[in-house]
Amino acid sequence: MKLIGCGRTRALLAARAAGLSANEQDALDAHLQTCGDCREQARLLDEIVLAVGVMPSRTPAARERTIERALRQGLEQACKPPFWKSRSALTVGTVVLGGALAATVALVIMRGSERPLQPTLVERPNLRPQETPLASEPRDLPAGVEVAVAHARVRAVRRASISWNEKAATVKLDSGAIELDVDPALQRGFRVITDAFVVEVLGTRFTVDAAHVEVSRGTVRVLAPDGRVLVARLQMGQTWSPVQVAPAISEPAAQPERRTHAAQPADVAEQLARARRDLANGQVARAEKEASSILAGSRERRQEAEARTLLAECAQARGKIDQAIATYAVVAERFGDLPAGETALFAAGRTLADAGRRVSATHWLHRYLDRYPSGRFTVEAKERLAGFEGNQP
Amino acid sequence: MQVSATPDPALIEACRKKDRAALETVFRAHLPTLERFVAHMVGPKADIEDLVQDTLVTAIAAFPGFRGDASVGSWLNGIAINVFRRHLRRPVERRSVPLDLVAASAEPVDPGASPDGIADGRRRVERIHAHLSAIGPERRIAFILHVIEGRPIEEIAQIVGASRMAVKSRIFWARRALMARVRRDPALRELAPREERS
Repeated sequence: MKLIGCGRTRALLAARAAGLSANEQDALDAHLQTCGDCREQARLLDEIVLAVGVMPSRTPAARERTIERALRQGLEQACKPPFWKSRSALTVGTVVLGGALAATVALVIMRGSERPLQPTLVERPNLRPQETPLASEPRDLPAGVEVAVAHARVRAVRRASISWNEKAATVKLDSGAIELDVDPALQRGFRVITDAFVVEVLGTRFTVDAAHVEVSRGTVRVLAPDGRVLVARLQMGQTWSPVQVAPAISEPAAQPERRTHAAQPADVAEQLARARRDLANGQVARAEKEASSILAGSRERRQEAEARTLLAECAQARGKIDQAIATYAVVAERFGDLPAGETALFAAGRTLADAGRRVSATHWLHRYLDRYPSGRFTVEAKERLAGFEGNQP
Repeated sequence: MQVSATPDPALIEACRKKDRAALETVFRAHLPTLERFVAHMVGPKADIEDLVQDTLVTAIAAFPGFRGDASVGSWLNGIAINVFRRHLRRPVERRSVPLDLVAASAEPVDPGASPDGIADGRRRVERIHAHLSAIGPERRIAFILHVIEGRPIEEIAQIVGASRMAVKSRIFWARRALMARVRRDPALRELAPREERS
């Protein structure tokens, strides 16, 4: 391993969020073990990253308002005719055709400015869920596009047409295939309705098209449109199709190759699953390699968050607590809007607590509670903090 | 709503033609990241919403010129940086609402957390942002993009329109200046945990 000096170390510290190679990370770790000044720099930099990362939480409704205002203002500006054009038209009208014609031209211009220049665009259905208390108009989603409906993220695996009811936490799939990621934190059900069946879930990830349901995480229940239960529990790795003979559940063991709906995300999902299995089986190096290769390639944001979290867990498994905390900090900072970001922030506090570093653990757990006052780990964070206070000398 | 890293070319083409639905899709996908970036630059102030909105309005007008060389996210960040530079040129009194005035309503606060803990946290954020604001805007932008947001040097160079060496140099000087300021700040030294010091 190449030894590095303080200057290079500090550059690497600054580059941690952007990602270091394994060699750079090893060199950094080795230097930090021997240099108190650089350790202090690392700690201060972590403090700064965390502090700068604190930002006002904005509700989805507030974000929608921002987008709405920007679109209104931006499209209005885009529709306005250039100033010189209207002025010259007025001048020509005055000189050539006289006052009456000028008035007509001005009237035409004024009427024109009142009317949107692209009526077909403005008249398109604006599919904001909160503005459609009942089911929304069907909307076409191009492949890869995600929409948030209630507490679920709905992603078109291939081009899909969906409508939804935000309040009832329900999506109706008219055509195509969608993948849903339902946040389990709210403990609130979610339904997907197709012509042939209804899928009910409580916090999970699954894919649906008109002909099958495939569960990537958690458990779902499949009902007939009339409410009869077709499959009481469809679990992770299982698929179900209404055209098959009941109960028509295919076990993953009988299906060695996953169906290929969206090649790239599915590949990354496979890699992530493999890395998790490797880590669970104690094969840390393989898990690290797998996670690093995900980061090197094309991936979705949430997959990047999961891969980085895995790297943090690998570092933790190797006993490199500082490296694990730094990686958790990056995930918490960059992916604070995703469940992985929340998990990472809590994991940093828990890891430090488990390592007996009480002051730092307290600091991170407070950070977690500040950022996620009603988060998934709020109770555990409070219990750990209460435990520290109870054990104070 | 989220658009994948390589958005549908048809979607981008529709944005160039100012299709409302397409613009909405793209904006909704990038808004959380954009908001975070703007918040990193100005701190948790009421200005964030205005700056984000200005960025989106500018983006609508600029979309026809988007060539697709960079990702939409990077391109929006570039616009946000220009909007931020314009914002800095405004008179100070028109620029921002002090942190204290907005923190109480804007930041999530745990009702169970101790008042001291909340106050300490806010004070730390306020102090660090004050130090960050004291660094020149170009250095600050490079520092935030690299150290806080984890963008590679090449991407930052593309976003800010500078050479890789210039970006590296800005990050170096920003880090150095910020560290020096933070170390000198007794309030932050007091707040920082000390157990891991050797």
